[in-house]
Amino acid sequence: MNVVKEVENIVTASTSPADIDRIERAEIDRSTRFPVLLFFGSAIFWLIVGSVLALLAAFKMNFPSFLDSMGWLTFGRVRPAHLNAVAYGWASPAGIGAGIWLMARLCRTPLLHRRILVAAAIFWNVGVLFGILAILAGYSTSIEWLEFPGTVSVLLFIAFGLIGVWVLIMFRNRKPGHVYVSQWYLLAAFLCFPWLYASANMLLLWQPTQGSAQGAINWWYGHNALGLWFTPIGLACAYYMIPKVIGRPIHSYYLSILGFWSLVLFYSWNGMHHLIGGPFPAWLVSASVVASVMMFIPVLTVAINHHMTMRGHFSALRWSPTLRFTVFGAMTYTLASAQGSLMAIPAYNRLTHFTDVTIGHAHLGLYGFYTMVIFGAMYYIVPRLTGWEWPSASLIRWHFWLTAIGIALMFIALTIGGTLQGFALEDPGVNFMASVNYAAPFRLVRGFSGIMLTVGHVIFAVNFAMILLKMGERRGEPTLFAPARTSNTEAAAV
Amino acid sequence: MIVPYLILLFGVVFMGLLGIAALCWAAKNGQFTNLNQSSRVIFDHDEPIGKPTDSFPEPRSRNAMQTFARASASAKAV
Repeated sequence: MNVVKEVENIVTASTSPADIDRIERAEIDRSTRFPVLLFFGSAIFWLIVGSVLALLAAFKMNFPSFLDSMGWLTFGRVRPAHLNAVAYGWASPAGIGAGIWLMARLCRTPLLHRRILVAAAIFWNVGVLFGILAILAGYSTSIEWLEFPGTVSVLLFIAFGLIGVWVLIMFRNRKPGHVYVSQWYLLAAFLCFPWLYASANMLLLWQPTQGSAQGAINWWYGHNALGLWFTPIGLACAYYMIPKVIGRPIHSYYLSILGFWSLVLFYSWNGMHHLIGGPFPAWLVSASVVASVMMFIPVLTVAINHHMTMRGHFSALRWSPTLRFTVFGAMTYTLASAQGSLMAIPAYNRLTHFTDVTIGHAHLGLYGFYTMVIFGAMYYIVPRLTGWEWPSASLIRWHFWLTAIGIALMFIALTIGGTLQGFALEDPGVNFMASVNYAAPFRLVRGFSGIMLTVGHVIFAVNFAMILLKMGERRGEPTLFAPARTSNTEAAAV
Repeated sequence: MIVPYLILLFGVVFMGLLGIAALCWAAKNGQFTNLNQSSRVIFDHDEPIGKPTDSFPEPRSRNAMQTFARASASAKAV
């Protein structure tokens, strides 16, 4: 491998502190190569599958008879298949891949026990494949976020467990020194989620509880999947990428630590705000509403920190693809979380809960924030693993603008349509069909924005395949070994 | 039927204690002291503070990045 040769050349040539650091970093990056690319590659495959399923479900809202002759393509199957394909097929493995790379870098240790991760990736993808097929074949459990049948979730649990064990092994073998805030987020995510997933499956699928307790467990799980799994991974990436790309430490490290611990404390209570007005003890829902509003604390710490770190460096968005996606995601995080806290307030919840506003909010969080941050992380990580630059800058630009405009359009359309729908549902003088008709044109716009996102994903997949195959011209040296690209001091010397 | 519930109850208590233990460990271990220094652990001699580490893969924007680096360096000097 020419990477190895290059490292050897550097070793023989000189051993300044900078060279030693570079060699160490290169070795760590290289050690994560196979498992990370395996997770990323399969994630992108499921992203395309999930996008196609999403388009089918979206257009069925406007054209109910579209492809309704085949049972496996009816709305009731396509819609949960979409959710599970993007949540377990795309978002989770993509986050795991980024998490593996970050963990190795932040522990300053080359990846240990690669086989654990490869086994986890295999279990994972077999699980998701059987799960999606089961849903399309009509074996959905009809429990939101846990539609995969109980036998399939065992496979996913094994994968989660293996990754959790791997994270602990890496953490134990870390180089001494400070545990960076991203590592805290990753530890929380990778250790909480296997437990969360197992508990929810046990109480809902393996040994099901009865009655309305199922609803409480369902949303305890559903919201914590966002709060203690996707959110910490996304924030871990943002807390690493933003300072690293612009070369400036986090504005207030104190706030970042405060943000982490307050997130762990408050987020796990949030699920019950999905049950406002349901047959549940009042204290259960009230406590959750209070915790949801308290989420302003961790969210504001992140918002202030990321904004102040970026201040004076916003022009950097022009030249860094990673930064573009990450900052877009970080800003959306603030917006989505603030909206989430407001939606938990009962008066507002009453208007929006069973409308498209909720769908818009879900996409703003999981797509506008999480997926965009993960795209940003992938743009940073993959060239360092393959030793090859992204073949096409214009494909990256198309990817960014299609997805950024697409998700903005989707959010705005669903929010306006959903609000009109909510007012119509509230008014006893308006019949139900009218509320559907109010929302219909906005759902058409949502379908169009879905096409934009899907095209963006296909463009990204093409660029990803090209970088794996090392297509395109060789641009000098790959990012990793770029000869000390204009640091400030050098530029000043010039 | 009772066994899964006991496992779950144990799990809830265990995860809560684990969180508290992690917080105590971090405080004892000195993770909360010297925070300004701690935020710099992601930089090293090769990628020091002040060095941008990502750009669009093309000569044009690489130039743009250099211009940016120069501008921020001169701003610092002023």
